[in-house]
Amino acid sequence: MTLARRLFLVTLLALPALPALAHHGWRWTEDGAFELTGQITAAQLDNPHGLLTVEANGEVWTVEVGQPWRNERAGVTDAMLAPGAEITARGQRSADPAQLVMKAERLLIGGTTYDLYPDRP
Amino acid sequence: MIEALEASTLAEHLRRSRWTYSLVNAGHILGIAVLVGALVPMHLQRLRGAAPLEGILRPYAMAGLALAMGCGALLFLAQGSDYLANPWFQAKIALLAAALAHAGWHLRAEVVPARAAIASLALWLMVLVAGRMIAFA
Repeated sequence: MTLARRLFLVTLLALPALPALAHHGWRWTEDGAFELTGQITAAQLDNPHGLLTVEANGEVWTVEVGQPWRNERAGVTDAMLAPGAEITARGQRSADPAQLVMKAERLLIGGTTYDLYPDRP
Repeated sequence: MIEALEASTLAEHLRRSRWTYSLVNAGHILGIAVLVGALVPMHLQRLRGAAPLEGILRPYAMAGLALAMGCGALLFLAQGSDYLANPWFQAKIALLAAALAHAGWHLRAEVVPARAAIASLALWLMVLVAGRMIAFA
């Protein structure tokens, strides 16, 4: 076997070892609808990923929201997602029950619904 | 220092833009693709004892490196303190420094020794892996 072929094989074998933690798309979530209500304790709303830390029923959740452009399109401002704010997030939770992570499709803030993914039912 | 960089207009634009951040990200990947895409065949050619490719491929590797580092600096600017606290980023920068020093040492060699080719391959691939891991820390 040539060295090139050996290196290629080693690379192929090593690929599945990479942790599949990137939360792009919806393959990592459960299919059913999920709702979480709680208080925001921390917010990271800049590129590349919008992430809220939400305290709900004594649990600490990570709620994935949009990047700046998606939140802005939905009419959500950073001020609405500031620590201390009460929100309800609707969307899908991680298929791994041990993971307190969800991806929000819609946010309910102060009685108004903001749609982050208008194309998703 | 890092706070001042993060507070700059450019950093703010990168954090909030729809297209700039994504395109800079794409530029970083393109730079890595050109760098590694030139390095790997160059070194493997040496290890196989085939006709040396240093003269042809080294300029491409350096151009890819310049693009990757330029775009990488911009990505760092957007959220520098987060990166500085990330152990994979720290590992990547240490490996990058080693890879750059190693490359500088052999920059003028028409054909690099086999041992140096192996070290270069290992170092740059470790930089690549550590860099990818930043997102999974």
